[in-house]
Amino acid sequence: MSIERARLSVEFYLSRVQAQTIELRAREHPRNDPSPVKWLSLVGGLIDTANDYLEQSQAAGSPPTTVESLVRDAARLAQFAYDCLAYLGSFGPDDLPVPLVRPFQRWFEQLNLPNTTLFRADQQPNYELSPTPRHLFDSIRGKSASLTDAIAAIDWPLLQVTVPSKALGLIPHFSIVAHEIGHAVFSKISWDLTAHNPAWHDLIQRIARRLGASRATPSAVSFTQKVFSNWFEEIVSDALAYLMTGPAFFFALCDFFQLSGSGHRISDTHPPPELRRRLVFERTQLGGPPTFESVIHAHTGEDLVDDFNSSLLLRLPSVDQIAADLSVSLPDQEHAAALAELIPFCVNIAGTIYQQVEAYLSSNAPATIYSPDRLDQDLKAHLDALLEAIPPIESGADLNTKVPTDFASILNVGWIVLLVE
Amino acid sequence: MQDLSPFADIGLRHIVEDALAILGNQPIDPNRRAYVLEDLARLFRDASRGSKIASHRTFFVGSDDKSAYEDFQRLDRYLRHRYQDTWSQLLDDVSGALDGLQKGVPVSADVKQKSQEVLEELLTSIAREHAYETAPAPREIRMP
Repeated sequence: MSIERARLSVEFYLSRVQAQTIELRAREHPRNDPSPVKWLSLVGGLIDTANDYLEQSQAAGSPPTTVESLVRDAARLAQFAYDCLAYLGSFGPDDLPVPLVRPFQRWFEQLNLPNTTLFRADQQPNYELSPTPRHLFDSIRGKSASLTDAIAAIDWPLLQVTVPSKALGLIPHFSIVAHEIGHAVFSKISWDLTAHNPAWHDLIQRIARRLGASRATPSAVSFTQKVFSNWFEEIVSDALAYLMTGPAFFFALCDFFQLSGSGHRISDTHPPPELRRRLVFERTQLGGPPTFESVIHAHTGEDLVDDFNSSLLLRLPSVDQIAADLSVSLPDQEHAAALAELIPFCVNIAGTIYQQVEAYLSSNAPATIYSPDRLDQDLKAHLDALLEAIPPIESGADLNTKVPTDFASILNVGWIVLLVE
Repeated sequence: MQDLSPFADIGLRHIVEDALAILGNQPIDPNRRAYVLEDLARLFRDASRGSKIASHRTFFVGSDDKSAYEDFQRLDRYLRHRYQDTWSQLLDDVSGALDGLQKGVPVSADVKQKSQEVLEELLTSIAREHAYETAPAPREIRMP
C-alpha cells in the first residue's frame, strides 16, 4: 500500500504544479508574446504525461516493479515540470522592460534566426542565452498528446534570453543582449582558424614548459581545448555585439563588468573581463577613416581610452604573474598554466575572429552592421536634440521620410549623452 | 540541460531503457523504435567523433565539434570508470549496432552483447549519479 500513498502524493503535487501553470497561462502576456504560453504548454504537457503514468500504474495486474517504476517516473516528471516552471522566472512588465523585447526580437529576425525565443528576467548579475534542445522533451517515453503538440509548436532549439531584473537591468546595458544573440549565430559561421594551428601547438608547448614537462598531459590538453572552446565562443559573441551595436557595446560591457564583480575573474567559461575589454577597445581604433574613436572625438572632444567608463576594472598583470598567482590560488597546476597561457593566444587570434564574424554579417545581414559612419549620422541627427530632452525615436530629413530610429542608434546616442554630455 | 533541471535527463534514461528493450527483441511501438535508435545512434556517433577530437590534441571551434566533444565528455563521465581508456572504441561498436538495427542490417551477436553491456552500464551510472546527487546548498550570506 505504501506505493499507493506515494502515487497519491505525486498526484497531489502534480495538481499543485498544474494549478500554478493554469494561473500563469491565464495572465495577460505583454505584447501578446506567445513564447511564455508555449513554454507553459510544455510544462502542461509534462504534467499530463506524468498523470498518464499514474493512470497506467493503476492498471489491473501490473507487476509491482512496473507500478513503482511508473510512479517514480511520474514523480521525476513532476519535478522536471516544476523546475521548468521556475526556470521561466519573471517575464512580466514588473521585471522585464517589455518595450525592449520587440527590438531584441528584431535582432533575431534580422539575423535569420527563426527559433522560438523566450525573454525573462532573473535576480542575478548575468546576461545569458540558453538553448533548450528538442530532444530533452521529445525523448520522454509515452508523451501525452498535449506534450507532443507543445513540442511541435516550438521552433527548436528554444532560446531563453535572460537579463538581470530591475536593479541591474539597466537599459543602456542592453546591447549586451546582442552578445547573447552571438551565441546563437556562432553555430552558423563556418570557422577557419587553420592559420593558427602552429600557434596552438606553441600554446600547448608553453603550457607543458610551465608545468616542467616535455609534453603536455592529455588532461592538460583536454582542459585547454575545453576552455579555449568556451572563450572562443565568448569572443565571437563580443565581436558580433560590437559589429551590431558599435561603441554602445563597448560602453555597456565595460560598465556591466565593473558593476557586476571584482577581481580578474579568470574562469574556464569566460575570458577575463579586462581581456574582453581590450579586444573590443582595439576595434574602436581600427579601420577608417572615420573610426569610432575619431567620430566620438569629433562630436565630443573626448579621447576614447580603454577604461573610458570602467576605471574600476582591474588590469591584468603579465602572463607570468597570472600563472604564478593562479598556481597559488588554484588546486590544479595544469589549470593555472592553461588559463594564463590562453590569454595571449586569444589576443593573437582575435583579429581573425572579428574578420570572420564581419564577413558573415556582410554576406547574410549587412544592414545589422553598425559602422562609424552611422554613428556620425546618428550623433548629427540626435545628439543636440537629446540634450534638449527630445528622445531619438525617429530619423529622416522631413516629415514624409521619417522612420523609427534603429535600436543600435538609440543605444549609441544614449551612451554618448550619458558619458560625455 | 543540467542548468534547466537535474530531472531533465529522464528522457535519456527512457531512450537507453527502450534501446535495451529493442536489443532484447522486446515489442516496442515502431515510431518509438525508430526515434530511439536514431537518437541514441547519433549520441554515440557524435561522442565517437568527440573522442577523436579529444585524442588529437588539436583545437576546435565549430559548434558541431563542441557538441560532439560535450557528448563524449558526458558519456565519458558515465562509462570511463568501468572501461578505463579503452572504452571509446566501444562507442563505434554501439553506434554501429544501433545503426544496423535501424537500417535492418544484421548485427552480430557479439556486437549486440557488447552494446547491451555498455547501455546497461550507462543506465546504472545514470541511476548512481541520481542517487548521490548533492542537493544545492542553501543560500547563505556571510559578511567578512
